[in-house]
Amino acid sequence: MHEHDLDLIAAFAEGSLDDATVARDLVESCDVCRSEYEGQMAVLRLLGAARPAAMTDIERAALHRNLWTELSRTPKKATPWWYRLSYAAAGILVVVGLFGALNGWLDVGGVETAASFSEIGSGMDQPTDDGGALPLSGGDVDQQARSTTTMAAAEESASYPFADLAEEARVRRTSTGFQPMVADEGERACLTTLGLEDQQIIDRLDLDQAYLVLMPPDDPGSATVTFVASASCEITHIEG
Amino acid sequence: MTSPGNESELLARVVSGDREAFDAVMRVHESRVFSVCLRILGDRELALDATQDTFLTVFRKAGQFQGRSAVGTWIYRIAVNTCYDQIRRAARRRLEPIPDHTDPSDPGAEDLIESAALRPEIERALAQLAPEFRNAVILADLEGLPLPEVAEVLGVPVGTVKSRVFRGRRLLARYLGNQSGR
Repeated sequence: MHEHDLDLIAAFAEGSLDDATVARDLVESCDVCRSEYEGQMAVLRLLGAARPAAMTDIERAALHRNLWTELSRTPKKATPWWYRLSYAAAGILVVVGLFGALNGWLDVGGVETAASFSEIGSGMDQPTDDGGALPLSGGDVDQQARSTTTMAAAEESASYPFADLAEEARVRRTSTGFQPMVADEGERACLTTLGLEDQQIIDRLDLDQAYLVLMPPDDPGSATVTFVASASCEITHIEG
Repeated sequence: MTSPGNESELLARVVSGDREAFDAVMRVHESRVFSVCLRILGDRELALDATQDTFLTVFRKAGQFQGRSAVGTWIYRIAVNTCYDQIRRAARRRLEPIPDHTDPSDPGAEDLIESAALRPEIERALAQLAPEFRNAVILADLEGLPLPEVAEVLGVPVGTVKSRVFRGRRLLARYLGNQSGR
């Protein structure tokens, strides 16, 4: 049989011909053509009966989680020069502050060389009782560094789909044979501090930082899901 | 439902690093991307990996989308290419496919997986097709994409797609006939 005839029969079988007269004649007049037509129809029926493949809830949640974890490792777009410059300026401030802080300690001990550190930091430091320059204290520097870290962490963690992760936790919680995870000593102390000691640990996630995923033991289907940063023992997200 | 225009806008926001927009794009297309990958690769775990790689590529290359096709078509094209890459990599490593598994704690997963599974004889017959025929049949007949879209996804003219689909079905009929001892 000619290739053209085969294509004609295939098009006839799927019903895409405007004028099916020639194809119908062909199928009716030739055994091989009829067999070809029947084969095409059988395949179309089989393929048409197949349902679309779908992800399970856990597969979908895992996909999202892995993807966002991977994307969080992706360098963000280049920032404008002035923005980068502001980071550099902040960095210089911190370094100068650290020098100043060191200077402050050395002053207490009465070490002579402290003056030179003080001079380095004097351009932007606070005045002191004795008219000299006092740099940012160690505590200030700590505070500044901590707040920068917290902001960066908040920005990073904001990029995770916590709603999906919460949904994943609910699915996990309602699944048969589910057993909550056992809190270790540190986690128990943290949950007590936060007043969450009655909550069950549904999961431990390692995203931008380690999280405990918590849910109350009752009403698992629609319950609130709480995310606690394990290291800092802070509630970072509440979903639901 | 997200319109194609909206999708282009969303993709433009993805270029500027908007992850919410990326999430929206992903939600529209992830099911079909997974389905296409599963049909091509025949293994859920590999299909999930390919789906993840597809969307990583979408995120990283969103700036290269030129709007000459629908966003979905562009994404499915990336998905098909990702699957090709994965097949090539697997062939190089001579990996055995990871056996399908069902997480027992995933309610409804068994049903979902079973209903998505093709009958084994179709699966075997599809596996015997050359990739160009198999992918045309998968996209057109299993995923129900219109032929012009399949043509864009596969990067070939519509006539070629039509011919591949017809020929693919013909070969499937022959393989199925042989399997049933006809």
